[in-house]
Amino acid sequence: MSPGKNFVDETSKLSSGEHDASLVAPKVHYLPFKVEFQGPAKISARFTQNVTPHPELASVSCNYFRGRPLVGTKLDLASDYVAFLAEEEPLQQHSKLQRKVETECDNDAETTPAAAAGQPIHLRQRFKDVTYWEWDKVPSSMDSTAKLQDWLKLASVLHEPIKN
Amino acid sequence: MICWFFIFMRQRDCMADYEMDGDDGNKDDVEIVGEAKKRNGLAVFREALDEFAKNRDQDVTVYSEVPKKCKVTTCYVGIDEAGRGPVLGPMVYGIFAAVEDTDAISAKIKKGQSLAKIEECPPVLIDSIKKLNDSKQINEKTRDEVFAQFSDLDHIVYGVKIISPTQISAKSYQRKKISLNEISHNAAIELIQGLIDRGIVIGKVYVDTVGPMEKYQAKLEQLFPELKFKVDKKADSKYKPVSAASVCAKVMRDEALKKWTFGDNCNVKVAQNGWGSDEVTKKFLRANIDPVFGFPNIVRDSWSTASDLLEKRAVKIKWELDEDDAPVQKISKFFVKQPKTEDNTENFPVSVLKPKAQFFSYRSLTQTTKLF
Repeated sequence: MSPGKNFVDETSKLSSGEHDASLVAPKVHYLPFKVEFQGPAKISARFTQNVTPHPELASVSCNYFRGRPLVGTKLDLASDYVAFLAEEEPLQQHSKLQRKVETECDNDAETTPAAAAGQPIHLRQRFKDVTYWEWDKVPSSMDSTAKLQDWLKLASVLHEPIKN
Repeated sequence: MICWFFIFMRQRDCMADYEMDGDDGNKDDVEIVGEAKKRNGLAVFREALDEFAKNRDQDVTVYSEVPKKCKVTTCYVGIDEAGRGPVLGPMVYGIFAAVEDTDAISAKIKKGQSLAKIEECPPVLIDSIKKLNDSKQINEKTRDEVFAQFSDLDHIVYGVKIISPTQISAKSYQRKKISLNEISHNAAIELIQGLIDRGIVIGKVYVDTVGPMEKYQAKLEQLFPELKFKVDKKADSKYKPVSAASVCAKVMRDEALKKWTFGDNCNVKVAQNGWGSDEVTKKFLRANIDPVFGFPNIVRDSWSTASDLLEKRAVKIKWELDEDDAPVQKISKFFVKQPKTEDNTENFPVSVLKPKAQFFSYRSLTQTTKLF
Protein backbone atom coordinates (compact mmCIF):
# COMPACT_ATOMS: atom_id res chain seq x y z
CA MET A 1 0.00 0.00 0.00
CA SER A 2 1.62 3.20 -1.07
CA PRO A 3 1.68 5.90 1.55
CA GLY A 4 -0.83 8.65 1.17
CA LYS A 5 -3.09 6.64 -1.04
CA ASN A 6 -5.95 6.65 1.40
CA PHE A 7 -6.05 10.34 1.99
CA VAL A 8 -8.27 12.41 -0.18
CA ASP A 9 -7.37 16.06 0.04
CA GLU A 10 -10.53 18.01 -0.54
CA THR A 11 -9.16 21.27 0.71
CA SER A 12 -7.85 22.20 -2.71
CA LYS A 13 -11.45 22.33 -3.93
CA LEU A 14 -12.25 25.04 -1.47
CA SER A 15 -9.68 27.46 -2.75
CA SER A 16 -6.67 27.57 -4.96
CA GLY A 17 -4.19 29.44 -2.87
CA GLU A 18 -3.17 29.21 0.74
CA HIS A 19 -4.16 32.78 1.42
CA ASP A 20 -7.69 32.14 0.33
CA ALA A 21 -7.78 29.06 2.46
CA SER A 22 -7.39 31.14 5.57
CA LEU A 23 -10.64 32.88 4.75
CA VAL A 24 -12.67 29.74 5.15
CA ALA A 25 -10.40 28.28 7.78
CA PRO A 26 -12.33 26.58 10.56
CA LYS A 27 -12.00 27.93 14.05
CA VAL A 28 -10.50 25.04 15.90
CA HIS A 29 -10.73 24.86 19.66
CA TYR A 30 -8.48 22.59 21.63
CA LEU A 31 -10.15 21.87 24.93
CA PRO A 32 -9.03 20.82 28.39
CA PHE A 33 -11.49 17.95 28.48
CA LYS A 34 -12.75 15.01 26.50
CA VAL A 35 -16.27 14.95 25.15
CA GLU A 36 -17.64 11.45 24.90
CA PHE A 37 -19.37 12.22 21.67
CA GLN A 38 -18.55 12.54 17.99
CA GLY A 39 -20.72 14.39 15.56
CA PRO A 40 -22.10 17.74 14.68
CA ALA A 41 -22.62 20.22 17.49
CA LYS A 42 -23.69 23.83 17.77
CA ILE A 43 -20.15 25.01 18.18
CA SER A 44 -20.65 28.36 16.52
CA ALA A 45 -23.76 29.39 18.43
CA ARG A 46 -22.79 27.89 21.73
CA PHE A 47 -19.06 28.42 21.87
CA THR A 48 -17.29 30.50 19.22
CA GLN A 49 -19.81 33.32 19.43
CA ASN A 50 -19.41 33.58 23.18
CA VAL A 51 -15.68 34.15 23.13
CA THR A 52 -14.83 37.44 24.82
CA PRO A 53 -11.47 39.15 25.22
CA HIS A 54 -9.78 38.82 28.60
CA PRO A 55 -10.39 41.99 30.64
CA GLU A 56 -6.72 42.49 31.40
CA LEU A 57 -4.53 40.43 29.12
CA ALA A 58 -3.95 41.01 25.43
CA SER A 59 -4.48 38.13 23.00
CA VAL A 60 -6.13 36.05 25.71
CA SER A 61 -9.81 35.09 25.50
CA CYS A 62 -12.44 33.93 27.93
CA ASN A 63 -15.28 31.50 27.53
CA TYR A 64 -17.39 29.10 29.52
CA PHE A 65 -18.25 25.47 29.06
CA ARG A 66 -21.00 23.92 31.15
CA GLY A 67 -20.45 26.55 33.78
CA ARG A 68 -16.71 26.19 33.97
CA PRO A 69 -14.54 29.18 33.14
CA LEU A 70 -12.08 28.70 30.30
CA VAL A 71 -9.15 30.89 29.32
CA GLY A 72 -7.67 30.50 25.88
CA THR A 73 -5.15 31.80 23.43
CA LYS A 74 -4.28 31.29 19.80
CA LEU A 75 -1.53 28.90 18.91
CA ASP A 76 -0.02 29.38 15.48
CA LEU A 77 1.49 26.31 13.94
CA ALA A 78 5.07 26.58 12.75
CA SER A 79 5.21 28.12 9.30
CA ASP A 80 6.12 24.96 7.42
CA TYR A 81 3.28 22.91 8.90
CA VAL A 82 -0.33 22.63 7.95
CA ALA A 83 -3.09 21.15 10.05
CA PHE A 84 -5.97 19.29 8.50
CA LEU A 85 -9.48 18.60 9.56
CA ALA A 86 -9.81 14.95 8.70
CA GLU A 87 -12.88 12.80 8.53
CA GLU A 88 -13.67 9.24 7.70
CA GLU A 89 -15.99 8.56 4.82
CA PRO A 90 -19.22 9.64 6.40
CA LEU A 91 -21.88 7.02 6.83
CA GLN A 92 -25.00 7.45 4.81
CA GLN A 93 -27.26 8.49 7.63
CA HIS A 94 -24.56 10.61 9.06
CA SER A 95 -24.59 12.67 5.89
CA LYS A 96 -22.48 15.63 6.67
CA LEU A 97 -19.71 15.41 9.10
CA GLN A 98 -17.83 13.99 11.93
CA ARG A 99 -15.89 16.75 13.43
CA LYS A 100 -12.66 15.60 14.76
CA VAL A 101 -9.36 17.15 14.17
CA GLU A 102 -5.90 15.80 13.85
CA THR A 103 -2.72 17.67 13.33
CA GLU A 104 0.01 16.15 11.39
CA CYS A 105 3.24 17.10 9.82
CA ASP A 106 2.68 15.13 6.69
CA ASN A 107 -0.08 13.02 5.34
CA ASP A 108 1.63 9.77 4.54
CA ALA A 109 1.36 8.17 7.93
CA GLU A 110 1.45 4.59 8.94
CA THR A 111 -1.46 2.47 7.94
CA THR A 112 -4.57 3.23 9.94
CA PRO A 113 -7.38 0.77 10.54
CA ALA A 114 -9.65 2.87 8.41
CA ALA A 115 -7.11 2.96 5.67
CA ALA A 116 -6.57 -0.76 5.96
CA ALA A 117 -10.26 -1.30 5.42
CA GLY A 118 -9.92 0.68 2.26
CA GLN A 119 -11.86 3.63 3.52
CA PRO A 120 -10.35 6.87 2.42
CA ILE A 121 -9.71 9.61 4.95
CA HIS A 122 -11.03 12.90 3.72
CA LEU A 123 -9.08 16.01 4.49
CA ARG A 124 -11.88 18.51 4.60
CA GLN A 125 -10.28 21.70 5.74
CA ARG A 126 -6.86 23.06 6.42
CA PHE A 127 -5.94 25.52 9.10
CA LYS A 128 -2.90 27.22 10.51
CA ASP A 129 -3.88 27.99 14.06
CA VAL A 130 -5.71 26.52 17.00
CA THR A 131 -7.22 28.24 20.00
CA TYR A 132 -6.30 26.21 23.00
CA TRP A 133 -8.22 26.53 26.21
CA GLU A 134 -7.27 25.92 29.79
CA TRP A 135 -9.64 25.54 32.68
CA ASP A 136 -9.42 28.74 34.76
CA LYS A 137 -5.71 29.15 34.03
CA VAL A 138 -4.05 31.80 31.90
CA PRO A 139 -2.25 30.04 29.07
CA SER A 140 1.52 30.32 29.24
CA SER A 141 4.50 29.20 27.22
CA MET A 142 4.97 26.41 29.77
CA ASP A 143 1.71 24.68 28.84
CA SER A 144 2.11 21.30 27.25
CA THR A 145 0.09 22.51 24.29
CA ALA A 146 2.26 25.57 23.74
CA LYS A 147 5.37 23.44 24.00
CA LEU A 148 4.10 21.32 21.16
CA GLN A 149 5.90 23.80 18.97
CA ASP A 150 9.22 22.60 20.40
CA TRP A 151 8.70 19.24 18.86
CA LEU A 152 7.81 20.68 15.50
CA LYS A 153 11.07 22.65 15.53
CA LEU A 154 13.08 19.72 16.79
CA ALA A 155 11.51 17.40 14.26
CA SER A 156 12.46 19.57 11.35
CA VAL A 157 16.04 19.71 12.60
CA LEU A 158 16.13 15.96 13.08
CA HIS A 159 14.81 15.31 9.63
CA GLU A 160 17.01 17.73 7.82
CA PRO A 161 19.19 16.10 5.19
CA ILE A 162 22.66 15.49 6.56
CA LYS A 163 25.11 17.86 4.99
CA ASN A 164 28.79 17.36 5.10
CA MET B 1 12.13 10.42 4.86
CA ILE B 2 10.81 9.48 8.25
CA CYS B 3 7.33 10.65 8.88
CA TRP B 4 5.60 11.17 12.15
CA PHE B 5 1.99 11.27 12.76
CA PHE B 6 0.82 12.73 16.00
CA ILE B 7 -2.48 13.17 17.61
CA PHE B 8 -2.38 15.24 20.72
CA MET B 9 -5.68 14.22 22.13
CA ARG B 10 -5.03 11.90 24.98
CA GLN B 11 -7.09 13.85 27.47
CA ARG B 12 -8.35 16.62 25.32
CA ASP B 13 -10.69 17.13 22.47
CA CYS B 14 -10.89 19.43 19.55
CA MET B 15 -13.86 21.23 18.14
CA ALA B 16 -13.76 22.64 14.68
CA ASP B 17 -16.19 25.39 13.96
CA TYR B 18 -16.68 25.87 10.27
CA GLU B 19 -19.31 26.80 7.76
CA MET B 20 -21.42 24.10 6.24
CA ASP B 21 -24.56 23.96 4.17
CA GLY B 22 -27.60 24.82 6.20
CA ASP B 23 -25.58 26.15 9.09
CA ASP B 24 -27.36 26.50 12.42
CA GLY B 25 -27.86 30.10 11.54
CA ASN B 26 -26.83 32.94 13.74
CA LYS B 27 -29.98 34.38 15.13
CA ASP B 28 -29.69 37.89 16.29
CA ASP B 29 -30.29 37.58 19.98
CA VAL B 30 -30.04 41.21 20.92
CA GLU B 31 -33.40 42.64 21.71
CA ILE B 32 -33.80 46.21 20.61
CA VAL B 33 -35.15 48.44 23.28
CA GLY B 34 -36.95 51.10 21.39
CA GLU B 35 -38.31 53.30 24.12
CA ALA B 36 -36.48 56.46 24.92
CA LYS B 37 -34.96 56.87 28.33
CA LYS B 38 -37.53 57.76 30.92
CA ARG B 39 -37.06 59.19 34.34
CA ASN B 40 -34.11 58.85 36.60
CA GLY B 41 -34.80 55.58 38.39
CA LEU B 42 -36.33 53.71 35.50
CA ALA B 43 -33.64 55.01 33.16
CA VAL B 44 -31.01 53.62 35.47
CA PHE B 45 -32.66 50.24 35.36
CA ARG B 46 -33.04 50.33 31.61
CA GLU B 47 -29.38 51.20 31.34
CA ALA B 48 -28.43 48.26 33.53
CA LEU B 49 -30.62 45.88 31.57
CA ASP B 50 -29.21 47.09 28.25
CA GLU B 51 -25.71 46.67 29.55
CA PHE B 52 -26.54 43.21 30.84
CA ALA B 53 -28.20 42.27 27.54
CA LYS B 54 -24.94 42.99 25.71
CA ASN B 55 -23.17 40.27 27.60
CA ARG B 56 -25.15 38.16 30.01
CA ASP B 57 -22.03 36.33 31.14
CA GLN B 58 -20.83 39.39 33.01
CA ASP B 59 -22.09 41.19 36.10
CA VAL B 60 -23.42 44.72 35.85
CA THR B 61 -23.56 47.36 38.60
CA VAL B 62 -25.43 50.68 38.35
CA TYR B 63 -26.38 53.48 40.69
CA SER B 64 -29.06 56.11 40.47
CA GLU B 65 -28.01 59.74 40.36
CA VAL B 66 -26.91 61.12 43.69
CA PRO B 67 -29.04 64.03 44.93
CA LYS B 68 -27.20 66.72 46.87
CA LYS B 69 -29.16 65.99 50.05
CA CYS B 70 -27.55 62.57 50.35
CA LYS B 71 -24.12 64.15 50.36
CA VAL B 72 -24.82 66.59 53.19
CA THR B 73 -27.32 64.82 55.44
CA THR B 74 -26.93 61.48 57.14
CA CYS B 75 -28.46 58.56 55.22
CA TYR B 76 -29.56 55.19 56.45
CA VAL B 77 -28.64 52.38 54.12
CA GLY B 78 -30.23 49.00 53.47
CA ILE B 79 -28.91 46.01 51.55
CA ASP B 80 -30.84 43.00 50.34
CA GLU B 81 -30.81 40.47 47.53
CA ALA B 82 -33.29 38.81 45.19
CA GLY B 83 -33.00 35.52 43.38
CA ARG B 84 -30.52 33.76 45.59
CA GLY B 85 -32.08 30.31 45.38
CA PRO B 86 -33.49 29.90 41.87
CA VAL B 87 -31.69 27.81 39.28
CA LEU B 88 -32.52 30.32 36.55
CA GLY B 89 -31.41 33.87 36.03
CA PRO B 90 -29.22 36.32 37.86
CA MET B 91 -29.00 37.06 41.53
CA VAL B 92 -29.52 40.76 42.10
CA TYR B 93 -28.15 42.78 44.98
CA GLY B 94 -29.75 46.07 45.92
CA ILE B 95 -28.52 48.93 48.07
CA PHE B 96 -30.74 51.78 49.12
CA ALA B 97 -29.84 54.95 50.98
CA ALA B 98 -32.44 57.37 52.33
CA VAL B 99 -31.91 60.66 54.12
CA GLU B 100 -32.75 60.61 57.84
CA ASP B 101 -35.95 62.18 59.07
CA THR B 102 -34.42 64.93 61.25
CA ASP B 103 -37.74 66.09 62.70
CA ALA B 104 -38.68 62.64 63.88
CA ILE B 105 -35.24 62.10 65.34
CA SER B 106 -35.16 65.35 67.30
CA ALA B 107 -38.67 64.67 68.61
CA LYS B 108 -37.50 61.28 69.87
CA ILE B 109 -34.36 62.73 71.40
CA LYS B 110 -36.51 65.23 73.29
CA LYS B 111 -38.43 62.30 74.70
CA GLY B 112 -35.14 61.02 76.03
CA GLN B 113 -34.35 58.25 73.51
CA SER B 114 -30.72 57.64 72.69
CA LEU B 115 -29.53 57.66 69.07
CA ALA B 116 -28.64 53.99 69.33
CA LYS B 117 -32.22 53.26 70.35
CA ILE B 118 -33.61 55.40 67.56
CA GLU B 119 -31.41 53.66 65.03
CA GLU B 120 -32.98 50.34 65.91
CA CYS B 121 -35.72 51.51 63.63
CA PRO B 122 -34.09 53.94 61.24
CA PRO B 123 -36.29 56.99 60.80
CA VAL B 124 -36.00 57.79 57.14
CA LEU B 125 -37.98 59.89 54.74
CA ILE B 126 -39.42 56.97 52.81
CA ASP B 127 -41.97 56.09 55.42
CA SER B 128 -44.44 58.08 53.32
CA ILE B 129 -44.44 55.31 50.76
CA LYS B 130 -47.29 53.33 52.23
CA LYS B 131 -47.02 49.93 50.69
CA LEU B 132 -43.29 49.66 51.12
CA ASN B 133 -42.48 46.34 52.72
CA ASP B 134 -40.32 43.29 52.24
CA SER B 135 -40.46 42.53 48.52
CA LYS B 136 -41.66 38.99 49.19
CA GLN B 137 -44.70 40.23 51.06
CA ILE B 138 -46.01 42.46 48.30
CA ASN B 139 -47.06 41.39 44.85
CA GLU B 140 -45.38 42.28 41.60
CA LYS B 141 -47.77 45.10 40.76
CA THR B 142 -47.34 46.79 44.13
CA ARG B 143 -43.60 46.35 43.87
CA ASP B 144 -43.53 48.08 40.52
CA GLU B 145 -45.69 50.89 41.92
CA VAL B 146 -43.44 51.35 44.91
CA PHE B 147 -40.41 51.25 42.69
CA ALA B 148 -41.86 53.86 40.36
CA GLN B 149 -42.31 56.19 43.33
CA PHE B 150 -38.59 56.01 44.06
CA SER B 151 -38.02 57.91 40.84
CA ASP B 152 -39.82 60.96 42.20
CA LEU B 153 -37.79 61.24 45.39
CA ASP B 154 -34.83 63.56 45.59
CA HIS B 155 -33.43 62.31 48.87
CA ILE B 156 -32.59 58.72 48.06
CA VAL B 157 -29.89 56.84 46.18
CA TYR B 158 -29.95 53.24 45.18
CA GLY B 159 -27.76 50.84 43.31
CA VAL B 160 -28.11 47.34 41.97
CA LYS B 161 -25.65 44.66 41.04
CA ILE B 162 -26.81 42.02 38.61
CA ILE B 163 -24.80 38.88 39.21
CA SER B 164 -24.82 36.75 36.08
CA PRO B 165 -25.78 33.08 36.41
CA THR B 166 -22.63 32.38 34.38
CA GLN B 167 -20.53 34.05 37.05
CA ILE B 168 -22.31 32.19 39.83
CA SER B 169 -21.46 28.86 38.16
CA ALA B 170 -17.98 29.93 37.13
CA LYS B 171 -17.08 30.98 40.67
CA SER B 172 -18.27 27.65 41.94
CA TYR B 173 -16.36 25.76 39.23
CA GLN B 174 -13.15 27.74 39.21
CA ARG B 175 -9.99 26.31 40.71
CA LYS B 176 -10.34 28.32 43.88
CA LYS B 177 -14.02 27.96 44.58
CA ILE B 178 -16.00 30.96 45.81
CA SER B 179 -19.20 30.07 47.63
CA LEU B 180 -22.51 31.80 47.04
CA ASN B 181 -22.24 33.34 50.51
CA GLU B 182 -18.93 34.87 49.58
CA ILE B 183 -20.32 36.11 46.26
CA SER B 184 -23.16 37.71 48.25
CA HIS B 185 -20.80 39.32 50.75
CA ASN B 186 -18.61 40.65 47.96
CA ALA B 187 -21.62 42.16 46.20
CA ALA B 188 -22.71 43.92 49.41
CA ILE B 189 -19.19 45.19 50.00
CA GLU B 190 -18.93 46.48 46.44
CA LEU B 191 -22.22 48.35 46.78
CA ILE B 192 -21.27 49.91 50.13
CA GLN B 193 -17.99 51.06 48.62
CA GLY B 194 -19.97 52.42 45.67
CA LEU B 195 -21.99 54.67 47.97
CA ILE B 196 -18.87 55.79 49.84
CA ASP B 197 -17.21 56.65 46.52
CA ARG B 198 -20.23 58.76 45.60
CA GLY B 199 -19.86 60.82 48.74
CA ILE B 200 -22.96 59.67 50.55
CA VAL B 201 -23.02 60.39 54.27
CA ILE B 202 -23.78 57.03 55.84
CA GLY B 203 -25.28 56.82 59.32
CA LYS B 204 -25.72 53.10 59.59
CA VAL B 205 -25.94 50.16 57.18
CA TYR B 206 -28.65 47.53 57.65
CA VAL B 207 -27.95 44.21 56.00
CA ASP B 208 -30.07 41.13 55.60
CA THR B 209 -27.82 38.34 56.74
CA VAL B 210 -26.18 35.74 54.57
CA GLY B 211 -24.60 32.99 56.61
CA PRO B 212 -23.86 33.45 60.32
CA MET B 213 -24.90 36.96 61.43
CA GLU B 214 -22.05 37.69 63.84
CA LYS B 215 -19.34 36.66 61.40
CA TYR B 216 -20.83 38.74 58.62
CA GLN B 217 -21.17 41.75 60.89
CA ALA B 218 -17.55 41.40 62.04
CA LYS B 219 -16.37 41.08 58.45
CA LEU B 220 -18.14 44.27 57.41
CA GLU B 221 -16.97 46.20 60.48
CA GLN B 222 -13.41 45.18 59.78
CA LEU B 223 -13.62 46.26 56.15
CA PHE B 224 -15.35 49.55 56.89
CA PRO B 225 -14.20 50.59 60.37
CA GLU B 226 -15.70 54.06 59.94
CA LEU B 227 -19.24 52.70 59.42
CA LYS B 228 -21.86 51.27 61.76
CA PHE B 229 -23.58 48.04 60.79
CA LYS B 230 -26.59 46.05 61.76
CA VAL B 231 -26.62 42.61 60.21
CA ASP B 232 -29.90 40.96 61.00
CA LYS B 233 -32.22 38.14 60.07
CA LYS B 234 -35.32 39.15 58.17
CA ALA B 235 -33.91 42.67 57.95
CA ASP B 236 -36.06 43.24 54.86
CA SER B 237 -39.20 43.34 56.99
CA LYS B 238 -37.64 45.14 59.98
CA TYR B 239 -35.88 48.11 58.42
CA LYS B 240 -37.37 50.36 55.74
CA PRO B 241 -34.14 50.95 53.80
CA VAL B 242 -33.70 47.17 53.54
CA SER B 243 -37.31 46.79 52.35
CA ALA B 244 -36.60 49.40 49.70
CA ALA B 245 -33.38 47.66 48.68
CA SER B 246 -35.25 44.37 48.39
CA VAL B 247 -37.85 46.01 46.15
CA CYS B 248 -35.11 47.39 43.87
CA ALA B 249 -33.39 44.02 43.69
CA LYS B 250 -36.58 42.08 43.08
CA VAL B 251 -37.88 44.42 40.37
CA MET B 252 -34.52 44.23 38.64
CA ARG B 253 -34.36 40.45 38.80
CA ASP B 254 -37.89 40.08 37.45
CA GLU B 255 -37.10 42.43 34.56
CA ALA B 256 -33.84 40.67 33.80
CA LEU B 257 -35.65 37.33 33.65
CA LYS B 258 -38.48 38.70 31.50
CA LYS B 259 -36.12 40.39 29.09
CA TRP B 260 -33.86 37.40 28.77
CA THR B 261 -33.46 36.49 25.13
CA PHE B 262 -32.17 33.23 23.82
CA GLY B 263 -29.92 32.83 20.84
CA ASP B 264 -30.39 29.19 20.16
CA ASN B 265 -33.62 27.30 19.83
CA CYS B 266 -34.99 27.86 23.29
CA ASN B 267 -38.68 27.42 22.86
CA VAL B 268 -39.91 27.26 26.37
CA LYS B 269 -40.29 30.70 27.82
CA VAL B 270 -39.34 31.41 31.35
CA ALA B 271 -42.47 32.83 32.86
CA GLN B 272 -41.97 31.65 36.38
CA ASN B 273 -39.55 32.66 39.04
CA GLY B 274 -36.99 30.06 38.07
CA TRP B 275 -37.10 27.92 41.17
CA GLY B 276 -35.89 24.39 40.64
CA SER B 277 -39.09 23.04 42.16
CA ASP B 278 -41.29 25.01 39.79
CA GLU B 279 -42.92 22.96 36.99
CA VAL B 280 -42.32 25.53 34.24
CA THR B 281 -38.69 25.74 35.26
CA LYS B 282 -38.34 21.98 35.26
CA LYS B 283 -39.84 21.85 31.79
CA PHE B 284 -37.54 24.61 30.64
CA LEU B 285 -34.49 22.76 31.90
CA ARG B 286 -35.48 19.48 30.30
CA ALA B 287 -36.26 21.15 26.98
CA ASN B 288 -33.05 23.10 26.73
CA ILE B 289 -30.21 20.68 27.24
CA ASP B 290 -27.80 20.67 24.36
CA PRO B 291 -26.11 17.26 24.36
CA VAL B 292 -22.66 18.82 24.19
CA PHE B 293 -22.92 22.33 25.56
CA GLY B 294 -25.55 21.74 28.19
CA PHE B 295 -27.82 24.53 29.30
CA PRO B 296 -28.11 28.06 27.92
CA ASN B 297 -26.43 30.71 30.05
CA ILE B 298 -29.57 31.60 32.00
CA VAL B 299 -29.08 28.40 33.97
CA ARG B 300 -26.81 28.15 36.98
CA ASP B 301 -24.98 25.00 36.01
CA SER B 302 -23.54 24.59 39.47
CA TRP B 303 -26.99 24.15 41.03
CA SER B 304 -27.63 20.50 41.76
CA THR B 305 -30.96 20.64 39.91
CA ALA B 306 -29.00 21.55 36.79
CA SER B 307 -25.90 19.44 37.29
CA ASP B 308 -27.96 16.33 38.05
CA LEU B 309 -29.88 16.78 34.81
CA LEU B 310 -26.66 17.29 32.87
CA GLU B 311 -25.26 14.13 34.35
CA LYS B 312 -28.31 12.19 33.21
CA ARG B 313 -29.18 13.74 29.87
CA ALA B 314 -26.09 15.26 28.33
CA VAL B 315 -22.93 13.77 26.90
CA LYS B 316 -20.29 12.87 29.45
CA ILE B 317 -17.38 15.26 29.80
CA LYS B 318 -14.08 14.10 31.21
CA TRP B 319 -12.04 17.03 32.47
CA GLU B 320 -8.31 16.84 32.13
CA LEU B 321 -7.73 17.20 35.82
CA ASP B 322 -10.26 14.55 36.79
CA GLU B 323 -8.27 12.04 34.80
CA ASP B 324 -5.03 13.07 36.39
CA ASP B 325 -6.29 12.14 39.81
CA ALA B 326 -4.01 9.19 40.22
CA PRO B 327 -4.35 7.42 43.56
CA VAL B 328 -1.92 8.92 46.00
CA GLN B 329 0.80 6.58 47.17
CA LYS B 330 0.85 5.94 50.87
CA ILE B 331 3.89 7.44 52.53
CA SER B 332 4.44 4.23 54.45
CA LYS B 333 5.21 2.55 51.16
CA PHE B 334 8.60 4.23 51.12
CA PHE B 335 9.58 2.74 54.45
CA VAL B 336 8.94 -0.83 53.48
CA LYS B 337 11.48 -3.00 51.77
CA GLN B 338 10.51 -3.21 48.15
CA PRO B 339 10.32 -6.62 46.52
CA LYS B 340 12.86 -7.10 43.80
CA THR B 341 11.37 -5.99 40.56
CA GLU B 342 13.45 -8.26 38.33
CA ASP B 343 11.24 -11.24 39.07
CA ASN B 344 8.09 -9.41 38.16
CA THR B 345 9.21 -7.85 34.93
CA GLU B 346 8.25 -10.71 32.67
CA ASN B 347 4.62 -10.50 33.59
CA PHE B 348 4.24 -7.05 32.13
CA PRO B 349 4.10 -6.05 28.52
CA VAL B 350 7.15 -4.13 27.41
CA SER B 351 5.20 -0.95 26.78
CA VAL B 352 4.31 -0.62 30.44
CA LEU B 353 7.86 -0.95 31.58
CA LYS B 354 9.32 1.42 29.09
CA PRO B 355 8.20 4.90 30.00
CA LYS B 356 7.49 7.37 27.30
CA ALA B 357 10.22 9.90 26.79
CA GLN B 358 9.60 12.83 29.06
CA PHE B 359 9.95 15.22 26.19
CA PHE B 360 6.77 13.83 24.69
CA SER B 361 4.76 13.22 27.82
CA TYR B 362 5.37 16.83 28.88
CA ARG B 363 3.83 17.90 25.63
CA SER B 364 0.96 15.43 25.72
CA LEU B 365 2.25 13.90 22.53
CA THR B 366 1.74 10.27 21.70
CA GLN B 367 2.69 8.35 18.67
CA THR B 368 -0.26 6.71 17.07
CA THR B 369 -1.28 4.41 14.34
CA LYS B 370 -4.96 5.04 14.83
CA LEU B 371 -6.64 8.01 13.31
CA PHE B 372 -10.17 7.66 14.63
